[in-house]
Amino acid sequence: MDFETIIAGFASSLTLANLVFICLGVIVGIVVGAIPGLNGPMAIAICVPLTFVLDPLTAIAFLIGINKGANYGGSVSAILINVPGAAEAMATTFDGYPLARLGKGLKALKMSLYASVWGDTFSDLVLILVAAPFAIMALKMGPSELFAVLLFALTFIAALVGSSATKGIIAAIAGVFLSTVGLDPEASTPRMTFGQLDLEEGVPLLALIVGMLVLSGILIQIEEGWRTRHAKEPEQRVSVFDAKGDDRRVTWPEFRGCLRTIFRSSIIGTVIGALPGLGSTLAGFLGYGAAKRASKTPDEFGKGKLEGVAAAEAANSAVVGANLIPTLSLGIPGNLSAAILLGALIIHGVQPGPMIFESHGELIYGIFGAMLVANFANLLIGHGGLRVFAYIISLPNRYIHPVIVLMCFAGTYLTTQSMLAIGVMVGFALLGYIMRKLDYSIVAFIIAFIMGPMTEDALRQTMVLFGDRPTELLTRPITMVFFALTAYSLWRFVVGRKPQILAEPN
Amino acid sequence: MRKADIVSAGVVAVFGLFVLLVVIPVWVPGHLEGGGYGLRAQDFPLFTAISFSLFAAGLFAYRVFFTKPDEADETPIPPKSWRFLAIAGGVLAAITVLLDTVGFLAGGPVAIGAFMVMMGERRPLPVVSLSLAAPLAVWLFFWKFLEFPLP
Repeated sequence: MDFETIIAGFASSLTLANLVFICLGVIVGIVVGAIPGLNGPMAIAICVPLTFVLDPLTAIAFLIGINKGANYGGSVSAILINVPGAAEAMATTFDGYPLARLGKGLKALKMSLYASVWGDTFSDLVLILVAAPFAIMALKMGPSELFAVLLFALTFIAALVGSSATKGIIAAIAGVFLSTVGLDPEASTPRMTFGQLDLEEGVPLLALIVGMLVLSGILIQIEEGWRTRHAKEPEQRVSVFDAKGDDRRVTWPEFRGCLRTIFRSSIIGTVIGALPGLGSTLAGFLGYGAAKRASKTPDEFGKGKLEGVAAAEAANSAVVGANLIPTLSLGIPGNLSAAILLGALIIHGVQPGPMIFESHGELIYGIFGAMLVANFANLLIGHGGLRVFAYIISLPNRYIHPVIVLMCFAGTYLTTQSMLAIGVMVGFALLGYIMRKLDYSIVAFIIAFIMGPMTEDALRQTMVLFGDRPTELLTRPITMVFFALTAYSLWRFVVGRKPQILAEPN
Repeated sequence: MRKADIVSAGVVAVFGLFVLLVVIPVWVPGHLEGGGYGLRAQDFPLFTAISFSLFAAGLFAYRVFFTKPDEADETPIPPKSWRFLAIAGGVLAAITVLLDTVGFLAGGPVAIGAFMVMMGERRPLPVVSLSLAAPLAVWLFFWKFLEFPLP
């Protein structure tokens, strides 16, 4: 990787088209993230088909803008109406809403924004510094090492997402099984296509993701609305725009007082983000908990402490960049957003993995540049659009969700021009509903579906190299270590009990 | 969730057996001619189907033999939810057929209207106006910006 490629990559992120789409993405992300019941991965999934007409860098920059905007957007409703827009903003409600009730809602929103941008930028810088060396190390791995790493990652992620490790693993293996539908990669033999030509390229990825993630989530919310239709909702909304003086802003002494907390939370979030499967929600809680323990006035947490908001937001936002370390270097997505971004890269003809820095170096550094620009856009747009976002979350879901359903149909049709894809989307929407109700992780299913082909390929190559002399695998230490870690994960999380703090919502 | 786990794990295990005994033998021709490339076409599907069947069977056995019945155990999908799922599935299927037969501009308003009513909107003005405006806006966006005419 030469210096000119790096510079060219960063420069390519600064074209007018990329800047416009990054800003659009941030706006979409903040809006979607702020609406309870919708989240970043849903927005990314719906928007992937819309990027077909764009070049790969602009497409990914747009989707990254959505991801970053959604991360901040979740805190808007967390602070204003005590309902996190997304699960990762749960810890933000602890002090964000009390601050809003004290008339300092604008202060909380702005601190949330600054901490979010700071944490995000910190982890992006770590990504930029670490990803390429990580990929170089990964290039030294052979097929058996790669298979062992993929197997461990699948097991680890499946065991951690959702509240049941066993059901997570069942869901993950089912996802990998489903990824085998289509043509066999070696001999192009049709596998489980049931005579349908449309299935020869496999189950349509976007139809599966949109159905299982977006449509099934909306169905769950509609049913929840039916159940609580006659229940009187207590008024929780707080108006924040009437605040005066220092209550409208974060003063420099206040920000300086939170800097240590923001830095600590950024480190926590970055470490959590680099490990597949742990997620932003956990990072938010850990960052909040660490800030409370380190504080001289821990009793003030939970009653409107600005540091609490800063801690939660910096940590959950710092996951975003770090999550792309295993995604880009190894092709292992650490969470759902990364998995969908990986799917988008594949759709645009970019195969993630250790070779990506060699084969698409300028694109990758363009993506890094876009991530930094997106943080800046997040800061400006988040700051300037607060009233708009506050208004949007007041719109009833019965106006927003039907339009999203329509976009799901339109976007899915766009990807394949096939009604089979629409049928697949509907089918997986119903399956996703059932899986959510029975606590089988749809996140594990989707991530495993995306990782399935790579896993099969690595196993295939391993069998070619070692099929007739399997004992040679014992001489490969990295392979053996990851097989052992896989076995330990299975024993620890399936046979043992998974610590409750690691349970991610489905 | 003991009952639900027993039923769901049982269903998954039976489905796995069906895949192993029927789906893969019929719909995945296996072969290993002249060297192959490590795996036959059916090997990886077989490996994954066996794995999820075993895990499901394990969960089933654990719940049946190692956990006690709980009187407070509520089914996570009560009959009301199954009814809702049937209705929602019917609506989604109907929308699919409409979009395929009459096209997006005619089927879209029905889709929007159906979902608004399902979500509790009863006033005609919002239902009609959003049902007309949203599909038109989406159709125009796809046609003018994405240069992709919807059906």
